[in-house]
Order: sequence, then structure tokens, then C-alpha cells
Amino acid sequence: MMDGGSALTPLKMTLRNLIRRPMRTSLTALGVGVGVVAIVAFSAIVLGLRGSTDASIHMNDAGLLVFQAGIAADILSALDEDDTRRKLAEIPEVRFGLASLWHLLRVEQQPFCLALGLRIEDAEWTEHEDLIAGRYLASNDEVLLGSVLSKLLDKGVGDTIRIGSEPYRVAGVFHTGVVFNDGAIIVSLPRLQQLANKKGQATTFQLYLADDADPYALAERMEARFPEWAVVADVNQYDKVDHGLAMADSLVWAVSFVALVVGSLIVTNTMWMSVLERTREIGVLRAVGWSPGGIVRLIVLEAVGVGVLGLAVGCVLGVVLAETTALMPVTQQFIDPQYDWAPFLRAAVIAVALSALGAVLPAWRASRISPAEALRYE
Amino acid sequence: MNDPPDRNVMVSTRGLVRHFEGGRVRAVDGVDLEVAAGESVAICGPSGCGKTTLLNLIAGIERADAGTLSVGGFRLTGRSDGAPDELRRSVVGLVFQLHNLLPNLTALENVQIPMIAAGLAPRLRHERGVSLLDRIGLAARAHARPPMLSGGERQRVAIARAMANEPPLLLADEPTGALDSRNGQRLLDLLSQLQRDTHTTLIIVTHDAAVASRADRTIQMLDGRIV
Repeated sequence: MMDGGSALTPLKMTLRNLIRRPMRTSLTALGVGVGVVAIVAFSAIVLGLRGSTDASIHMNDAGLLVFQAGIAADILSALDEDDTRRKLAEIPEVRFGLASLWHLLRVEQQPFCLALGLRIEDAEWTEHEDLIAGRYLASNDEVLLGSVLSKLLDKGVGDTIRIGSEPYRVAGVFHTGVVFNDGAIIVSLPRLQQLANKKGQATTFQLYLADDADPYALAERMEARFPEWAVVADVNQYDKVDHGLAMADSLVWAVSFVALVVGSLIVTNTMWMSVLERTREIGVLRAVGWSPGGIVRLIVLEAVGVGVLGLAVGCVLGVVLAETTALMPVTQQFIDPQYDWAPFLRAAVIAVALSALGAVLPAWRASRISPAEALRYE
Repeated sequence: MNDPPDRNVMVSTRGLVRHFEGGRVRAVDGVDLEVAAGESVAICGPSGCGKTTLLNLIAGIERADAGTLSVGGFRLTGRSDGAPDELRRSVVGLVFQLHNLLPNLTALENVQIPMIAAGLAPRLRHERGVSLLDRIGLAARAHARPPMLSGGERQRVAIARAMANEPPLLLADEPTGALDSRNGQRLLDLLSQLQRDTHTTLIIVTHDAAVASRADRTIQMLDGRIV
């Protein structure tokens, strides 16, 4: 007596057909996978940016960030430091406003480096708690390096770095766990105002609030009272001062959509070829009683199989791409990929749906095959 | 509408016509035929006389241009619904001159293909497939794919596939045409035995007089007509 084994099912037929031409199946799956890679990798990067932005807003338990209203990008904000301090002093819920100037500098061989200007006398409110080596700034000729930047520059406490032609001594190295900050350099505020030619200006004020203050309500009140301010309570309000995250979200969608449409067309091409090659076999299926609907289901199932394979490959490659991007010297100061189930689910739904859609035309063609003509087909 | 089932008549045609190339080729040209249930009939004639087209019409894989055709209670002329599909699922089993097995499936899996269309449960499909292969003496070759089978074995698997849904009518188009005489004889023995055991109606197309002589009745065709 022969051994057992499971019954033939449409799913088993699908798998057999997919492994029948492994190279073609793999390349088609890769075509779908490119779109999935785009969704997974870009989403991880954007999610990382959002996470880092949110962490920066609430650094050291701060509650709000104040920027100049009506700006296109956060780094373009220009607040008059003294005027802003005076106004903040009128708001009882604000315990302290930490002035900070943001600027991009070339530091040693690093072409883009986020520089944060902080007042030496504000030491107790700053990230000095995150110092992992050395001490806080004591003079305008000293700097603090974030841990990522310190590693990139291969500089530590006591070393000298050059900004432009001026030497600065590294007083300390800090680590916050937020990639924006850990890739930055902290310079005294007066010195950065001088380097950036922004005398008396700050980019933002990080506000430390009274324990019972409601940051969202307070932000609304502050904006009503001082219309020249944009006050941000969390990352979801960040588009008041910077559209970068929203643009990145849109870009993810656009790139992913184009890539997946191309993937869908590749599926169409492959399945069309497959149907043509198997005209006689499809004719046999029809001749032994398979309905046109059954043939359609078989072809669509095969396309969905390719989509699922592409999804798996794309998810793995997407994570690899995101992590590799974050390791590059130019990007590791800014990118810290983060993962969430939502982009994977979105990729799964879109990849499977577009693969099925790509099979519609070939499946329709297959369902129209006349068994008599197919059996005459050589 | 289907005809009320007549338990004695399996196939009935009246003035059946099938043209090709806009009417220039009259493959089947006014055929009247009646085949009783349980009967074996051989359709003979030279190449191009319309034997295969007539068989395809009976199987529901060709559509008639004129006339009436009723198979196992299914009236196939004058309708455009899924009746032919249902006919092939439940009434007709087809054996082709070439085995037409799916090359990426095993013998056992090939036998199960019609059962999927008929909606049989997976367990029953498997059990019946095993039983059919056992019956045709290929139980040991159940997991071999067609390229690993001999010509005679492939054709026997094709017969098992045709019998998968236990159809009351078996149609065979030159089933021994691609086999040597020894394997051809063995295949005919198998067909005859299966027909006797299951009381199946058998219509076999052949141009081989020896094959035709095994049938209860022989019909001669010439230029699309029964002569």
C-alpha cells in the first residue's frame, strides 16, 4: 500500500506552479518586494525622525517648545532672546525657558553637524545630566560632543577640534539616546550667535512647566497672547514650525505607490506569460470540469503567492536598508530607524492587493480559453 | 432546461452540425446518433472525417452550430450557461490521445484534479485517488511525476483521472494512438474492464479496426456524416 500524503488543493497547485519556474517567480517577487522595501525602510526612517523629534521636545522633562510663528522650517526660527525671556516671565506656569540656537556647522571632516548654542549659566537645565565623560561648558572656547559625533570624529574629552579655523577644546561627551542630540555639538550660545551671525537670537525656548500645568492648553493660550510665537506640545504639532515630517510621510507614500504599481505591472507581465505558456494545461483543466471562475481563482492565487513572497523579501530587505542607511557616516547623526506594526501591515495589504490586481487581466484571459482550442494548442 | 433523464439513453443527437472557417469546413454535418446507457460504441473513419469534433461536441468542449444534443440529461444546444462545465464535472470523463497530464503534479495529484472541480472534500479526493491508482495497477507510482512515467503508465493515469468523478460516460479519443501495440492492448483491456465493472457508457474514437472490434457497436464516419 502506498504511503499517505495530503490531498491536492488549489493552494498546493499554486505552490507547484510557483516553484516550477523559480527564477521567474523570484524576480517577480523581487519586483513586488521593491515597493515593500520602500514602505518598510522609509517608514522606519520617518518613524525614527518622529520619535527623535518628540524625544527632543520633551528632553529633560521639558513641556513645550516656543518658535517664531510662520516659519517654513524649525531651524529658520529667529526669536529675540531678551524679548522672549521677558514675555516668558509673565507666564506663571513657566518655571524656566532654556534658550537654544540651532545652526548647521562643518566640524572637522563632518560636512553637516547640528550645533546647539546654550548658555553656560543654564547648565542646571541642560543635558549635562547625560554627560558620560568630562564636564559641562565652562568657557566660550569649549564644546560638548554628542556620543555619535564623538565616535564619528574620534575625539574625546581633552581633545581639540576645529570649527572653521578656530580651535575648541572638548570639555565633555554626552549621550541622550536621541540621535538628533547625540549627533550634535553643543557650543556656548554667545559663541554660536557670533559664528552664525545671529547676535541676540535664539531658535527656540524649551519650557519647563509647573507640575500642574496642562501643556496643550497652555500652548493655545500662549499663542493667543503672543501671536508671533508657535508653541509646540508634541510631535503631532510640529508641522506648525516644520513640514519636513509631513513631507517625508507624503514622500513615503508617493515612492511606495509608484514602486508597487511597477511591481503590479511586473506581476501582470509574468502571469500573462504564464497563462500563455500553460494554455494547453488550462484547457485540460477546463476539459475535466473546471469552471472559468475556478481558473480565475487559480491564477489570482498564484499572483497573491508571488505578492506574499515579495512581501517577505521586501520586509527583510527594508529593515536591512533602513539599518544600513543609519550606519552611514553622513546619516547616522540624524537617522535612527524605528519600527511599528502599521507600516508592515500597510505593506502587506498593498502588496497582496496590487498583486491580485496585476493578475486580473491574465486571469480573465485564462478564463476565456476554449478547452477545444487549447487542446489543439501546441 | 435539461431534458428529463432517460435512464436508457446516454447520448442523443439530431441533425448535429459543427462548422469551421466560416462554414467552409463542415466537420460534423447533420449527425443523428443515439447511445444507450452502458453501451460501448466505437466511432471510426479516416483522419479529418469529424470523429474528434463529434466527441468534443458530446463532451461539451465544442459548441454545436445547429441541431440538438443531449448528454446524460443535459441539453447542450441552444444555451450559453455553465451546463458544459457541469456536464464534464458530473457526467463525462475524457481520455485524450496524448495523456495531457500536468507535468508538475504527481500521478496521484493528477487524478485528483477533476475532484477539486466537483467540490469533493480533500480527504475523499485523496482516498479515491489512491483507490483509482491501485485499481489501474499504479499504486507504487503514485508519487511519480509524468516525466518519470512510461507512455503506457501516463495513459493509464489519464484513464484514472477520467474516472475520478465516477462519470457514467467515458469518452476516449484515440487512447492508444501514442502507444506501441503491447501497451495499446493493455490499455484497451483496462478500459474494457473498467467499463464492465462500473457499467459505464464508453464512446471511443479510433481509426484502428482492432480497437473498434472490442466495442458493442461501430459507427463509421465520412466527411462529417455517419455512413
